[in-house]
Amino acid sequence: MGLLNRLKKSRQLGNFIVFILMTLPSIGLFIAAKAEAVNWIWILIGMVILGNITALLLK
Amino acid sequence: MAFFVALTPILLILILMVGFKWSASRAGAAGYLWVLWTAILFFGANATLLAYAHAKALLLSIDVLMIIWAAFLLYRVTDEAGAIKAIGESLPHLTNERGMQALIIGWVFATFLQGVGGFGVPVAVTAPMMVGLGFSPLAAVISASIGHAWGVTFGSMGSSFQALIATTNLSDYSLAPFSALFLGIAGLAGGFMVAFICSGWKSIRRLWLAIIIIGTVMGATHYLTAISRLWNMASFVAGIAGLVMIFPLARLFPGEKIDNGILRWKSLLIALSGYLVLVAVILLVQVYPPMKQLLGKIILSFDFPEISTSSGLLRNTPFITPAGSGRKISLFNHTGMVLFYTSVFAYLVYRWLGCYSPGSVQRIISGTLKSVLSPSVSITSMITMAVIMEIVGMTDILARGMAGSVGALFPIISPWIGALGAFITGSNTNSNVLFAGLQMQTALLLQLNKTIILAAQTAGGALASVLAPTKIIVGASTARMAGREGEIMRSLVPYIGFLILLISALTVVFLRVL
Repeated sequence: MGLLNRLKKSRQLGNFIVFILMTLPSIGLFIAAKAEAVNWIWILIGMVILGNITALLLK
Repeated sequence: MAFFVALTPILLILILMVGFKWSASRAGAAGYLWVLWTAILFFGANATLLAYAHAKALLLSIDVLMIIWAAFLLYRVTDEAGAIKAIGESLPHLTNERGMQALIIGWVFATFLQGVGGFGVPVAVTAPMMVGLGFSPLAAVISASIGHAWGVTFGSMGSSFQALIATTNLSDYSLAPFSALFLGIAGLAGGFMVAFICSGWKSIRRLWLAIIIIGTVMGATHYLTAISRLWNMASFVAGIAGLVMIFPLARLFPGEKIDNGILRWKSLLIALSGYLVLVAVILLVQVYPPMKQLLGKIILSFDFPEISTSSGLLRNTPFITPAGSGRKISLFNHTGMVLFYTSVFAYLVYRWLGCYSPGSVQRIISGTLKSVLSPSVSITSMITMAVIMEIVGMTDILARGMAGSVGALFPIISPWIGALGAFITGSNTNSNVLFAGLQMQTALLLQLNKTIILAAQTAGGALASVLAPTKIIVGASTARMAGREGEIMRSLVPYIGFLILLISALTVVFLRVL
């Protein structure tokens, strides 16, 4: 929870990390979809989910 | 059952933001997670579908966010140079006539600020100016809110209109005319409201012709700029046109002879220089063919295959999205890049004119980052949510349900859907992201002109965005009305409600006529 508290204190850093987790995996998702790499798709979607959960917990 | 389940993400955002007072970024994240779960369980979303949905959403997000980031940057560049303050300080010196002052600051200048900044800036800047001139704080906040509302869609360098284009995949050429027309008419009505709020019927009897002249000039400029494919500066140019009209009109209504200070022309011209750079860059990049061609060479585009759902609890037959390219982004002549070039050149001009103090670059960058991150999170999650809803067929289910239940009343209800979206999410942009696709599909099912319905969507969203709790809080705090947000909202509702009814009427009339 130390990391979460640090992110809560630095709102900009927290939002930045959330934004990265929400967007960058999508590039990998396109590649994984083209390659039909289902396992990688779920891993990357998991990262997006993590970003959204972090957004929920930050405020 | 399918209709209700498809509606739940939107209901969730409504409940979280209005009932639990969650921020847009938090509610957007919750909405995304809910849509993901319902799409997989009920509507047959599979891994490949979700992967392509996220990729499509990323392209749409980049398309919208480039404008928002650059618009914030440009605003910071000009604000740090003291340009906004200098322009605002010059205006009251033009006249002592109270109603005219209200129109100049609460309507015309607020429209200009919406054009170049938006994001709550018009009320935050003009409300305290009006309080300083002796208007009551309540009158200052509600007149500034109403005065700039019509400029929201094509304001902030067109970010809300960009979202409309991105989510409907229609051209700006087809969407701009009715959107600009509806908003221009609402803008004229807004001018009368501003005069009434600040100075009563007496002011309207005295200034009605001035209001019609200013409103017509601003509305016509707004319309012509929007349909000329320069929609990203339609509200900005309309504001400039209004400011230019103010000079001769203010002389006709000087008011009582009291010492109101002198107009510092040199400061005003220095302040406006950044905006002259904006006009020059936009004309060079978007109108001058050789430059447009040169900068348009690099396009970000991906081809998506046909996407199909699997079985779900509420889906027996696959919902198919045909193959096609996602949102194409012309990297170097995108509106966002144009604003970025403008920011750089404007910074150099203001620096050469000696407008900056030490540390300005750091303040500009940190101020921009502080402002853009939260909206970026909310826009990204809501766009992803909307794309998933579209690709699994949830939007189609909602559209069919609405077409079936509302039917002939849909044109009347259409702007209210946009208004609801803006009220819930706090912005015209997010409302367009959430509902434009749904509105377009419903219009197609009911065989209605989709550009008129989408104009109603964005106009309703623009007008109601001023009722968003975050904007009201900003206005209340700058006008020393903190804690009285409820009073502001109650005062605003009848005026905004009337303007949205006006849009409903325009929608019905134009659908019948055309």
